[in-house]
Amino acid sequence: MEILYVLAAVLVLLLIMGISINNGIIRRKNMVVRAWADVITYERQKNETLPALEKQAAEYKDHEQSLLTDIASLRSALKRASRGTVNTDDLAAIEASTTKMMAGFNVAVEAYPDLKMSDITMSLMREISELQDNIAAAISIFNGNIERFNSGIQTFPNSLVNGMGAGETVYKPFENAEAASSLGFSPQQV
Amino acid sequence: MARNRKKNTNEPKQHNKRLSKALGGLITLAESTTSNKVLAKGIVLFEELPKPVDYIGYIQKAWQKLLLGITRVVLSILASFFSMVFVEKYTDLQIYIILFLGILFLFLLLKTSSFLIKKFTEVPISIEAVSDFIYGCSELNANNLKPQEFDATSHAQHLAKKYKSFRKGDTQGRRTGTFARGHHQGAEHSFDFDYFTFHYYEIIGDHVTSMFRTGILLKFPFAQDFFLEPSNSRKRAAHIARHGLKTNRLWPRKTEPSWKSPSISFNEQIAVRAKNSMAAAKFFSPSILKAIEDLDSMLTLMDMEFTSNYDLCISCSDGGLLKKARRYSLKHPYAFSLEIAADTGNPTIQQILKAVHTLMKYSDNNFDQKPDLTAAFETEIQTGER
Repeated sequence: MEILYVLAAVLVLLLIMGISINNGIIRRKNMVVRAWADVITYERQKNETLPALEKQAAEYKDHEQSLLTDIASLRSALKRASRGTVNTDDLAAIEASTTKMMAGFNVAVEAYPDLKMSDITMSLMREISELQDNIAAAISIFNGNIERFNSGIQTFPNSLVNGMGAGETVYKPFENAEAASSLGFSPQQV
Repeated sequence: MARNRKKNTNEPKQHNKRLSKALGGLITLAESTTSNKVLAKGIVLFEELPKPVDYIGYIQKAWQKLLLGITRVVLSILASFFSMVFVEKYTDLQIYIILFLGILFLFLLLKTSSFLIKKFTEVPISIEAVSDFIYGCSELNANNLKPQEFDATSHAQHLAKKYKSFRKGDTQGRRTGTFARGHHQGAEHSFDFDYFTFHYYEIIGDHVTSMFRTGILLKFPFAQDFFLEPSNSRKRAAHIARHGLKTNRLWPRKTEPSWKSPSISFNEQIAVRAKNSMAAAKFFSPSILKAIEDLDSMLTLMDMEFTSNYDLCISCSDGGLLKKARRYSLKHPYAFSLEIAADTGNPTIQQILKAVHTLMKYSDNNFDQKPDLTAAFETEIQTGER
């Protein structure tokens, strides 16, 4: 009889542990989705600076057309990304469009030194630079959350609970392909 | 010959007088100068004195001689008494009594002598204490801080009215230790700040623990009504480390943060209490979260308080951000002067100031004119609010 009580107690304990682990997995998943939504929200804040950029583009006559094309391409990349669905490929497309647009804008600004020194250009550049910093930090938080989530479903006994319950799969962290290629090095598992 | 002897006895007195004067001059110099190079030059002048630089305890030496003489006399009396014991055949009890009285006399003699030696050989200022003071001044100089005059208790009370961070421990024992003013020049913002150390006591039953906080105070016009503190689990771990598993009303209460960041690692370390969660969501941008998390990992049990009057208080339990252990003292003037001249300031304070600048950079409006924080700070000093 006593053995039965002990077994029942152990089973109850295991059940509580299982529920707790399962809830932890769900909580971490929600945090991944939230961090992703933040990344997209900050990416979409670029939309607020784009009208000002378009206005500025008119000042850079020689570069106006290429700047406007880059801005349009960024707008469509921003539109494609969803806040609810984690898709790092969409993010890569936005980042690539931003890099291209900023490179074009910098070339245009360099060609017109007087405009470069204007308050509006400097404020705009500072705003974009801070926005990019915020996006980089948001991506770093997103990747940090993914790391916690992935570890939370791959380590034992969480992997067992996940297999029996939530059935979550690992998320792919965001990698900046351009930055990685410029390093000429990528970590490889031996 | 007699003249020479007189000259020799006066020498230590003159040396001590000269040393006292030089130390007084150095203290005045340390209080007035803001340059460690000037201070180091002042210290090098002590090289002229015999090494290691210290007071000559001539009174102490005289006392020691006298004590040695008395001990010799007592010992010889005891020895002659014992030699007589065998001749005159005292009873055992008498021998024990006399022996006991002899030892008691020697014990009392030693005790009285050590007391008198201490009393009469007390130096006007100890070399170590002056070295500590000079080093403290040099640390303030190296960090561009100017010490402020204040009353330790009333100042702590004044700060407790403004900041939650100063409402710790027993109300009677709160004291401000150091209070110094500084200025930080950043790329986009420049601001004045106050550096402080704060002492208080935590009382659990009969057990009193002396606690210490240190940090900075400044104007922060971009945010209000947020209080960041270590998460519940970290607070509990710190409590156990300090007081053990004693459960009483000082046990950190479990309070849910009023706003949770999107970062798992941030939430594990820091709890945010905000009056308005919408304002928190707006202010705590990813760059700001990262800056705060980095700063928190550098400090011990960091609190960050944004008051409703747009003041910011950052404090931590690190044992005095300025308090580095000095390697040398005025006893070795040249080495001490080199140590002071090489002090380039405390990197932790610089990191805190850089973090504050980052918070300002990412919370201001790039299209608005930057507020004059120095002027706002000055106004508060003039109105006595600070």
